[in-house]
Amino acid sequence: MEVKVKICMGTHCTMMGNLNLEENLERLQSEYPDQIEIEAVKCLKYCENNKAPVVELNGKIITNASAEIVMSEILEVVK
Amino acid sequence: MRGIFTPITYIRRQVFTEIAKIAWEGRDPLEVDDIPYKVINGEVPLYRGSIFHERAIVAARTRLGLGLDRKVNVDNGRLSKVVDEAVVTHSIIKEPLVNVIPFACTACESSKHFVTDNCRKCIAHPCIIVCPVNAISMGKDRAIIDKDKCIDCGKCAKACQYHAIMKLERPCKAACGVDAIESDELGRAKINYDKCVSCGMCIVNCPFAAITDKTDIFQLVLAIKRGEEVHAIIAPSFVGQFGPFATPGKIVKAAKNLGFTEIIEVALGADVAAKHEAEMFPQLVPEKQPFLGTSCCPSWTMTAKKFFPDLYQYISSSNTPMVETAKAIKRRSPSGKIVFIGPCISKKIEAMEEEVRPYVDFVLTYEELAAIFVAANIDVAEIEEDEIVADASTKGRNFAFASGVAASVKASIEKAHPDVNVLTHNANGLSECRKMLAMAKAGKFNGYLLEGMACPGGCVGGPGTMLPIEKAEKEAKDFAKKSPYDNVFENPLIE
Repeated sequence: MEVKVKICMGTHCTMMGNLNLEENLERLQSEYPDQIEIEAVKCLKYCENNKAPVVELNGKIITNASAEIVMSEILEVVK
Repeated sequence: MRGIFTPITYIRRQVFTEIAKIAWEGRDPLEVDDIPYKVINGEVPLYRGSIFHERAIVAARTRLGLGLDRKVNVDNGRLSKVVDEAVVTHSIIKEPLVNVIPFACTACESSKHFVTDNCRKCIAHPCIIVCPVNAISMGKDRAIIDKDKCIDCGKCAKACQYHAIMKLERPCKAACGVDAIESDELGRAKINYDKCVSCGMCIVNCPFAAITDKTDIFQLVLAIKRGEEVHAIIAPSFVGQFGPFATPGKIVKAAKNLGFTEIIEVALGADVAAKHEAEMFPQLVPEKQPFLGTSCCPSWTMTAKKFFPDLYQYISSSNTPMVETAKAIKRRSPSGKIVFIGPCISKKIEAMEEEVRPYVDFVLTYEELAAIFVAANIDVAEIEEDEIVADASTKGRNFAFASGVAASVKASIEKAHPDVNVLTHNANGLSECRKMLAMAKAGKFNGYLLEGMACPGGCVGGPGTMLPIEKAEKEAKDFAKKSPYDNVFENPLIE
């Protein structure tokens, strides 16, 4: 299955780790080049109340999206 | 650990944001006591055994984040008792800048070889045979190293075919290029300030977030909110630090929306420094001195001063780009305050120097500025205007990454003096810098221009950055190429 990941790059999510997450996902993408699509997007508007960083994964919003959560959710889909 | 976003960075930036929010929203400063409860909320500990321990650590981080000195035990008290000292519109940071929060430190072994489960109790046991101090014996389950005898030579680890012997080094100590990490009586990390040059590598490498520095966030935000005239100067590594949509022009506009009067590239000061060095180098090297060291990185120059005092005189007398840029602004706006925004925490030390303080009022890192943007609800990506940023030349902007400074200064010297051929060498990371100085002392670099950068990769690898290092270098290089001027001599802003 394919995964489309939208990484929020508003200032709040950028500060809370999404720059690093983007790099982690790019590395993961190189393992699954046809299955993972990464797109940096502007604020997804879910970051209030300490919910940053935010990622959208096949339409599903993940708040407090630590790399370990996002990577494992992606691997669930691609493998 | 760098390049991976961990809870360590998350907590640090949360604390910065909460500090900035109190100042930005004009709330009662006594609310600083609430920060530990906001950052560590709920009923169960997130990372350590006790939630109270976690909150105590956040309180200590908050104290330092407010710019206050770290206190021990009985003096610790509630933050609100001392917060008055922080409610001012000038920097209150005093040395030491980099502080271990002792009760956050888990006292990792400072350096130790130990035997892992991989040990098969083999018949050959080469580890025992090669040990030069008879520290190893065969135990019931595996080989045992006598800690008191072990001299950490590593011969056993190399000899073991099962890779059963590991060296465990505390990450702060491994990251420190000047051997400044020692231990207190409980084995916890303790910084030897005679050696520390405040590069901040221990801060970003400690896996328990036990080391932190002080910030000007609170005082700077108060200054802006009280309507003081604050000019910002931003280091050349800023490009891309606030995300892919935050172009340099948008960052400048966002900073103005925040309340800064203007925002000028520090690469302008880099141009000035490169021009000064172009004048100095042919006069000094090699007749009057064997080499010229670059002066832009304060941790590098402090390393020269502390570890090679006889070579310190050979570091360029040029002002750092930060100081040059600040001076240029003070000449036309003498009443304005100036904040330096960069990747660097040792600039906080430089700004404290007697001859620098009149020009630089505050120092912020990129992550500290991001925390202020978040507190002020400013999303740089959403800014519509894209201001023109053209204060500096390509060569000035190239100061952002390792080898860029030497290349730019060399180009500047050779432009001004086509007959001079400049040899260069560069070192990044303080341990490399010390090696380079040792070789210079031995006469290996006579006639050279030597570039020293404390952070791996140069300024783009600074402890206050947010963008992974390789990308940050690329962004800085791409932006440098876009300058309308190739070098300082083409830059119309410099007389």
